[in-house]
Amino acid sequence: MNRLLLFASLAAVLLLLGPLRTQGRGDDVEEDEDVSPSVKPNIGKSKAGSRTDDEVVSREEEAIKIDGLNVAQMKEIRDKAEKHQFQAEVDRMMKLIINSLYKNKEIFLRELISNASDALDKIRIISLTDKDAMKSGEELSIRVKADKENHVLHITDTGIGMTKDELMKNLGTIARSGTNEFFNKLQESSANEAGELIGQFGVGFYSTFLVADRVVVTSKNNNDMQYIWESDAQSYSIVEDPRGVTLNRGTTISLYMKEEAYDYLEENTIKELVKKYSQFINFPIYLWASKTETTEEPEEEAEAKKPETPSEDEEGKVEEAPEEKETKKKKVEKTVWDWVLMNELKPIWTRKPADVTENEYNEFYKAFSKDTEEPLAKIHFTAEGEVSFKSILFVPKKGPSEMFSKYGAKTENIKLYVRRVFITDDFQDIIPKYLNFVRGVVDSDDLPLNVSRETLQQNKLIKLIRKKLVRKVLDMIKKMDKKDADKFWDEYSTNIKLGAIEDSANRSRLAKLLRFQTSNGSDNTLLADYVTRMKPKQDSIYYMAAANRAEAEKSPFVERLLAKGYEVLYLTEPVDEYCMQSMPEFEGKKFQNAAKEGLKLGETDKSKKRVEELQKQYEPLTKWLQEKVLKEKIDKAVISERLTQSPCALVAKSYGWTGNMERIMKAQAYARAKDPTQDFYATQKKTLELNPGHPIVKDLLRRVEADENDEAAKDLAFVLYETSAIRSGFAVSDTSGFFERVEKMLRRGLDISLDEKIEEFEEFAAPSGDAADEEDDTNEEETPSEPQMQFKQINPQDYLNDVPKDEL
Amino acid sequence: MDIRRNGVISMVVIVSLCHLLFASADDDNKVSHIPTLCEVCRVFVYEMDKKMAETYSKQTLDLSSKPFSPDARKVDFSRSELRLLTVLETACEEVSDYAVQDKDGMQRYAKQPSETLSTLQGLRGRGVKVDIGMPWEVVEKQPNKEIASLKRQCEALAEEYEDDLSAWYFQHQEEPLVDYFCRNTVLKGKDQTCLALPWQPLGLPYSDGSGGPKKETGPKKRVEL
Repeated sequence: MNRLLLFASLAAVLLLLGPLRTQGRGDDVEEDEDVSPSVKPNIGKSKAGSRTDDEVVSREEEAIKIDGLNVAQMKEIRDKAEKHQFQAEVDRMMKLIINSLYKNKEIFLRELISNASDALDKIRIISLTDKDAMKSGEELSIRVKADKENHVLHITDTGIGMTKDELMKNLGTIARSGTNEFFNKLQESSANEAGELIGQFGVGFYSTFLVADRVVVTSKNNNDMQYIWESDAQSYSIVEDPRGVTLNRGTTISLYMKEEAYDYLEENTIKELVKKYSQFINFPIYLWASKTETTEEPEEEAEAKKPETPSEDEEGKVEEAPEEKETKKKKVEKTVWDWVLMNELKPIWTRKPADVTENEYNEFYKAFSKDTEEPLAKIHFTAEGEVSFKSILFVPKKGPSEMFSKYGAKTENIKLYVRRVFITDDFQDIIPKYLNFVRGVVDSDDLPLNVSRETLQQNKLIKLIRKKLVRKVLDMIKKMDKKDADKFWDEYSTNIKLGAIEDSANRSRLAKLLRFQTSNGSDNTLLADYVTRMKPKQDSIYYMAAANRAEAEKSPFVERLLAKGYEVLYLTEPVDEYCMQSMPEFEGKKFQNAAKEGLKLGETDKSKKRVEELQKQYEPLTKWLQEKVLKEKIDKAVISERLTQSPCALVAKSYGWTGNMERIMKAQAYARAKDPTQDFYATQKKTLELNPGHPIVKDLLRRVEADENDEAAKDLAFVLYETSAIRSGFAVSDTSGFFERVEKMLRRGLDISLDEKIEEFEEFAAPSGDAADEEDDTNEEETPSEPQMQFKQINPQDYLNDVPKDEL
Repeated sequence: MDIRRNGVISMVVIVSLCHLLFASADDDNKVSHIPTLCEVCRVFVYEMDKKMAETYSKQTLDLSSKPFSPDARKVDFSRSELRLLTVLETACEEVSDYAVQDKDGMQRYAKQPSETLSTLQGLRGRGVKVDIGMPWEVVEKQPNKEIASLKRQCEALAEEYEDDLSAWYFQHQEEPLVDYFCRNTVLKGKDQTCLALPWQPLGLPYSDGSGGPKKETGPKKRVEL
């Protein structure tokens, strides 16, 4: 029957606009005419016990759509209808909308549902003071139905509806100030912005012409008759509905879709769009949808049997034979149509936090995020100020697996709504990178996203939102109980550390969340707790960075610190040392890297004096090392205050790299080759600190004092330097030289003459022709004598030439 | 020392100025210095005043989601949260433009290359080979440790005293920030001597008369803090 309408309406349109139509439309006309013979009033159809899907559709149609008009009635409509031209502004606006939104057609559904929701809000508000307002129907809902056969999409609401005057005013004119301003903005806006703009300006309705050739609006307001408004975007007509009142109250928008927009008639497409844009609309949105059910059916008499008058059944009950017959049953697959609720998720953020149960939050989170687990933490708040909004933010138990491999990539974890209508999740800056695991919604009743560029930058407002979100998230983390905080730290510690590096505006807040391993027990410690344990005269927070805890604990740099009972933080994660370097201080306490210059331990006059004495006593040795033997290797040699056990250690300049930093920097996959800055740090000369109490150091001093040219002493000095480099976490650049010297020392230690020849085996010297080369290689590596052969190839002279000759 | 090489005269300038370019806290206390709270506060106030001047606007913000309707909520931009956020966010941005000068008092920090570096750059520009023991890229790009500390302390000030700065912004904008913020808040009961020292944040002329303060970059008022 709706075909009839289609035909009749098209005929009317043709009559009205025939001369204006373009050549290209000829095909459509033919198609319509082909259809026409099959369209006739088929009054007896519903009695025939129909089974096919399309008939179900047709029957259901009656409930929501103009229908049931015969040709004569359609003619009457056509004659009676008042024809109007659109106001010039409307005309211009429709053209602008179509131009600026052609890439973003899908928003038409959001706009229609949003309008429907507004209409429902209006009748609800009126009903608060007017008891009779809802007499025309208690239900407040939005129903979407796609008629695929005729390519019509119907959106029906039971809202306030429009009187004839309102139809003309709302759908034919723009009676608002600022129209020109709006046009200017629309012209210069992107498709996304334009979509937002038309909604704000209240002209979202016209976006229907992006997808439809013809739009029919049937509307019933409590104060007027039911009217039909119809337009093809060129002009419009308006007429009293000859069928009388079919909608108790509300509006049906029927879109006669363009061929390229047929996809919007697909159930899945509609579901996705509703979910994307409208899932938090306050009123239920139903979709007339089909599903396949397998039922047992009597094998015979199925055709003859009369169904339970489903035409009466407006809610579209499953159409099947309810009576059980004695006949044989067989399994039958049936397509069943019903109204399916599409927006089950309620916008719980609009309620007061006290009124929302824990369970509701969890269910909301799971449905919203697709996470199967409950969130670790959540915060629900209202922000006031220049931008006011409501928000719920969640911390998932597990961060996204690509949290760092895609660090800085755009995430879509924060969804922005305006009055519960989805606007976008396409924000680069709504949450900083390091908090990219946070998920949630931001909903503003009052978000001026598109205020003109000259007065305000959109991204600045986003910055305001961002600032508030970050504060709330950090607040939530801070307030976690011990158990949750531990879990949080296990999962997100790197994020917080990166935050301390990147987010200077929240650095101290983030610093309060940082935890590190410590010499004070096996648990992580907060910096604040460290500070409470500091010794009375301790002015720095000491830390030692290394690849793991054991390495840090055994590092020569912490020897004296630990011996004197100072607490040392062990930084064992790659990001830790960076993180510390970006923090100026914590609660007035400076940070001191144990592996760098500047470590001063509770100086007293007495200890200062002692150090001075030792410096003087060891001056021959330090001078000898610094100016002679290790001139090219070290910046200077000094007496150490930090060593107790190790003979010496290599200390980085305060602006140089520690061994740990060197290790990390060299492992950077994205490092620039031959970066002069990096090379500079990597080749920075360090300070060699000597332990004046160590017997080897004492002995070395004695030897140097005796003979400055003692070869053994020189070797010893080199090996001391190299081993302390290793102990201090640095790489030894000249490994072959190092091994050569170690070998010499081993020979001395074992009383083997330095000249004693290495025995050569002929079998190894000349590999036999039979064996494959590769096999030979592997065999050689397993041969114990291999190291010797390597040594043999080294000429000590080579090493000496290797020493870089700096121009200094 | 002059070295004739490949017919080109190049002068190798060997300078030991690591201490100037990389003044580090612990080398020797002669040259190294960690900016004091007073110095940080003064730099901060200068920078924040500059940002306040830069963001000044008579515009009003239209803050309604229906910007075309007459009931739009309007806010004076000069007193808006948005401006405060912008100012606080960027207040310490330009601290990296400062360089450590070989001068005393506040004049240690100025937004001009240090005279030594500037001299070296001049030599390099004339084809002189300048060797100061580190790659030139490092010399030019590497933020000085002291300036890095100045910047971090500046950022910490902006974060930790945000409430006081907001109070000034919303209620006491007419009061000089240096009084409200440094004298009566941050440095209350602490050393304030640096506030009275003469300071040209854009720098003084070099000893040869060149490189004086650039006039355009600074805000017109409040330069003389």
